[in-house]
Amino acid sequence: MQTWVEKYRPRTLKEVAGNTSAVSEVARWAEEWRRHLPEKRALLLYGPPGSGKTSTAYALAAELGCECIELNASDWRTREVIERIVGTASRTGSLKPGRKKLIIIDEVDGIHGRAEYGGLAALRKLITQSSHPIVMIANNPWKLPADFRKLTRMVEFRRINQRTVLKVLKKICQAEGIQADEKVLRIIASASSGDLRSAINDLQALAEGRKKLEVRDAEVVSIRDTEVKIFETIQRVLKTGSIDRAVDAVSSSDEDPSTILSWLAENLPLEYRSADDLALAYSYLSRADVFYGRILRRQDWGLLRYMIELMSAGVAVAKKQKYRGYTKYRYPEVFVLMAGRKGEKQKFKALAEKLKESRILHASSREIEQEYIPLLMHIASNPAHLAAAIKEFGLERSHIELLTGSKSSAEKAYKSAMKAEKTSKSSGRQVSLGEF
Amino acid sequence: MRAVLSDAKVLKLSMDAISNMIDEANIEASEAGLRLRAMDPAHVALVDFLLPAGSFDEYECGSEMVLGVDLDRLNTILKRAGSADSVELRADGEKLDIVLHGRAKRRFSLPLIEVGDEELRVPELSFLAAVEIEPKLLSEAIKDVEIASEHVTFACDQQSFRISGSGDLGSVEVEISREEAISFSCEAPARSMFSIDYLRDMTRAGDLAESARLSIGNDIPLKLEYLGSASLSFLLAPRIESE
Repeated sequence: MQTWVEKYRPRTLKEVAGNTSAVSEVARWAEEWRRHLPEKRALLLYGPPGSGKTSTAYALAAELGCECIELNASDWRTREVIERIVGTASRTGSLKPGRKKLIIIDEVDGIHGRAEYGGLAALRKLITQSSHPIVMIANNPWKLPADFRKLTRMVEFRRINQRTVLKVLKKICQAEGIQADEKVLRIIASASSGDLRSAINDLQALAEGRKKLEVRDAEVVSIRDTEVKIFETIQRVLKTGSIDRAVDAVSSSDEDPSTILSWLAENLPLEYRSADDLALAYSYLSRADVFYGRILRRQDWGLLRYMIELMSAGVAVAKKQKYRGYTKYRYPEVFVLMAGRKGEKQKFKALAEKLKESRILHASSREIEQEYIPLLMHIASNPAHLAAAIKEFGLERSHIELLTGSKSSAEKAYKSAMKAEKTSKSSGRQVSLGEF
Repeated sequence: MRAVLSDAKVLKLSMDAISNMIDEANIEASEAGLRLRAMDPAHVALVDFLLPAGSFDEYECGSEMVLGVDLDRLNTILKRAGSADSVELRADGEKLDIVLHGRAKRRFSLPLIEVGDEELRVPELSFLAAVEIEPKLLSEAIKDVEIASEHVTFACDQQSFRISGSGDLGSVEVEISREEAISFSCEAPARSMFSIDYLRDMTRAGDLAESARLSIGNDIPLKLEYLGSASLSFLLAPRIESE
């Protein structure tokens, strides 16, 4: 399925939302290319995510009628690859005569490290020799060496203001035939904090399969706020092939790494369709989980980096192919199940606490919970023994229900036990008929 | 054994009262009718229930049989009977069929179970007082006392019969004068205390008879009899003040 981000990507520079001055600078640069080789053959668009950098690059290509040569972050951008793909393209003509090419390199700030060794050097050479315009995109250009930056014309993109985001969302709703309450869109827009891409993704996630968005959905959005953020995190991990991008996605998230781990575990199979990729990704996830266990046990948070790298980079590089398109991620089922068990767990804890208070077992509540309660559950399966246990420990109806796991048998056992119990309680001793 | 009862009320009420105290019991079927005698697991209450052959519309019993029945199950089935339904009971050696005849014929089958026969020794008791009152009066009095207490004290002298209870929440006394009672005899003042749980269950059957007959003494079991087309009587051990 096509993402709305792709579907509604602007086709002309004019259509690009926000950042007017940046866009017109791009247009001026393109104009220069028309006349002569400009001083700087490469453009470096930089700014926060979702501010329109990529959209501008593609809109430019469409407007110029150029063929796009892309080099995405999910490709390994070693020197060899850059030379092979971009290098040859930059020096040879197009298959379609007369057609120009535009080279788009996404996430240049991600090109470094051992895996992409020599990548920047190859790019440097490319920039100085290219006969085709090059547009490079970066979130943080300051990560790039200064002399590399100097080779480019830098154009800054800023966060898109909320009104503009709202306008785009409205347009998409119109095109999709969705009746949306403006309040909902406003909440999405403000939650995006100037990231148009995430706003559109949120809208798509919410409006999927619906024709109407009402105010009460707005509440869902605000609740989903963290969910949306985590969507982004796992999307980044699952889509990228770059170690740095993946690690960055997890370590820059506000979410607890163990939460992200659960999300990844839940959604891996939705994204990775090759069994080999999936198996490898899960093996990395499980190793990350082993580290998490160690962290908890030893309280050694120094191990956290291994956990994070295994679950992010490990999962990201486990795939041999790219999986394109929009994947609708799911809320981890494990949380739902845990929440369901939570009440029960608490009840067992309370029972253990009560048994501890009674001082009959001479054990800690933890020990009671682990050692004695299973025993009590076994005892409870026999009504006669259960009655004795009820008397001995002063169990209440709710406890018995917990131990027997059945309401009706708990009721019965409790009733008969209570009758016997009352005999020993206060005013008078219940005697049996046999005594007469 | 085959028995048909066009008015199932008696059977329903008794089973409702009994099954609350006793989980399983043997029902003896003989020419005389159906009889259930059993003690509750704590040996505090004894039930003697007789549904004579004459109270059935049709009754035939070739040879004497003992039907071990899970009373709770039986009660659940009988509860399904509407007021206009007639109930037919049929037993072979393995199961008890309960057929409800109404607009539809509904047949329930209840497997018979093995119920250990315990020796039911009915104690010899010398009661000091016997009072016969309307069943409703008794069940209401129990409900009144229940507000304050877990125990009921029955006391009787020449003038009146008193049902009372007291607890942390206060006290309640219900006084029934000699004149109000259907019959009243008292040799000497008598007083005994009982658990209200049992009495609550026992008095549930109240509607099956015109009168409830209570026999009491001093710290001895209570005898409660409901005598109508069927006879249902209970013996209930007292609570004795510990010294």
